[in-house]
Amino acid sequence: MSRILWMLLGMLWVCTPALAQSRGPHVQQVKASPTQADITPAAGRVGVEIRVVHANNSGQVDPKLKDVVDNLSFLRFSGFALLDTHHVKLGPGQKATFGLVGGSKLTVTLVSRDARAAKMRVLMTSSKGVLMDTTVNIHRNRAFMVAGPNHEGGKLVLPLAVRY
Amino acid sequence: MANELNQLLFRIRDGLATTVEVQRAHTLVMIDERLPVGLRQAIDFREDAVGDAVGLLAVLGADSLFGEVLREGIAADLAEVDEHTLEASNRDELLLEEVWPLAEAFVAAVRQEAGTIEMAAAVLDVLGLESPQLPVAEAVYDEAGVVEIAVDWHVDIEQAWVSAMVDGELPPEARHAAIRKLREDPAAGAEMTVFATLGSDLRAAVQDEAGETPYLWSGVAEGIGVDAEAVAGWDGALFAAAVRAQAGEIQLADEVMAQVVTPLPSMVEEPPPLPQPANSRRWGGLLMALAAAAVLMVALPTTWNQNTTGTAAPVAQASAQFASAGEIVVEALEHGDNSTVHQIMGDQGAVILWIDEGEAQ
Repeated sequence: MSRILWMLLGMLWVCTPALAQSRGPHVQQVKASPTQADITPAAGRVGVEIRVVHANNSGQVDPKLKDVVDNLSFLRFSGFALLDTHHVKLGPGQKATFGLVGGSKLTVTLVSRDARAAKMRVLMTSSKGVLMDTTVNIHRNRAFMVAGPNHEGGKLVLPLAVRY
Repeated sequence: MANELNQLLFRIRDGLATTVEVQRAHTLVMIDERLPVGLRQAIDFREDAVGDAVGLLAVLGADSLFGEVLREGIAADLAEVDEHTLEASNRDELLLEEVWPLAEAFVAAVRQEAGTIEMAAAVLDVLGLESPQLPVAEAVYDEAGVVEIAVDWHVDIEQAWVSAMVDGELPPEARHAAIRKLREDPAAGAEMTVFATLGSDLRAAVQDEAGETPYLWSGVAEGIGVDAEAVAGWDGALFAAAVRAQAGEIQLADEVMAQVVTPLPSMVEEPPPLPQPANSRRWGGLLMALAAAAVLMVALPTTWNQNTTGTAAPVAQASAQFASAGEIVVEALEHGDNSTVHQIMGDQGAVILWIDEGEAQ
């Protein structure tokens, strides 16, 4: 019986610091992963999500890209891979630049916004210079795609979603 | 997208396409990787939209070049041939292809269309063509009955030279005269089209006249005195006898079945008996519970207090709702010197700004 008591005391001695740490006043703030709510900003700013998708002939399709693949069957690529995802919140007049694969860059500027739609300027450049410079007026919580640049035997597809 | 492009090209070819449809077709051509890059860039539907559409349909295999357009092309090509050029040149060297570049391809297509049909001697005589030796023809004729096809074909005996020219059977002198006559009478081109479909028309006419024909080979074989089931050089009875002579009398059934039918392995096996524990289990449960509690007390706080640094985990991607054409307006669109941009629609209606960099990197 005494041996069991010693074991219990030993366990309590080991566990006490962890318990104190979890209940103490100096708990470190946990940085949670960004959720959908985080990119849906407060009034005035617009959340922009940019996915970098590689259309290729690998035969493997990322299930998370179903919404993209459903619109691109005419490309006749057998594989779609998600290379990267960018999230940014922009206020009117603000812009953000993202480096894409192969040295290309994408600059997104929120020109203006109202309750119905947002005016976005999208500038895509490569090592050869400007590929595209467009200004679109897109309905809130909608997305469109920029696609076509060559990449490793396939094509880059960039779905841009605007959320507010 | 391929079907949409084909439909638009047909409408353009027929002169039914609107300006918007022509532009849409141009956009689809620009991104259609079935077409060579040079062709995609050359096609603009501006100077000759109909011609562009016809050519694209032929390249894409959606339509052939034969028919009205070809006849007009042939007449246009022949109209450019100079009369003096025909007379002054060496007749032995002047070929139909020199005045009609499409002749070789056209003749090959006609021969392919006509197939290997065996024409009744009477029909061949009417057309003035040499009747081949057909030992089966008589039997087929007897089986099919009397067939009146000459009238239904609307074949003009005077136009037999057109058929002969298509088949390359005219001597050089006659060929030159035929070319001159063709230039004088563009309607003869229509007859050439008729002969291009001669084979299929003949088969259809014979079937319409004679009706559905039953299996003919047995009757034909009997008519020509051969066994309907015979295969040249093969005697099944001899083969079987040779096998028996080589193998002898063998009773295979029992031995084969003994090899084939083997006992199936049992799917259920009795597990080995578990060893009985040697130690006392009186305090085992209590100790295990205490140990588990201790692990939880140590592990959980460590997890709760974990400070995540570095890149955040990727957000679970929510499917994007793509804007339809009415939900997005492209107010400005510019491209660089080395690229072009087209606004197209995806298969589900998503708006796509397609950047064409030209040659793949």
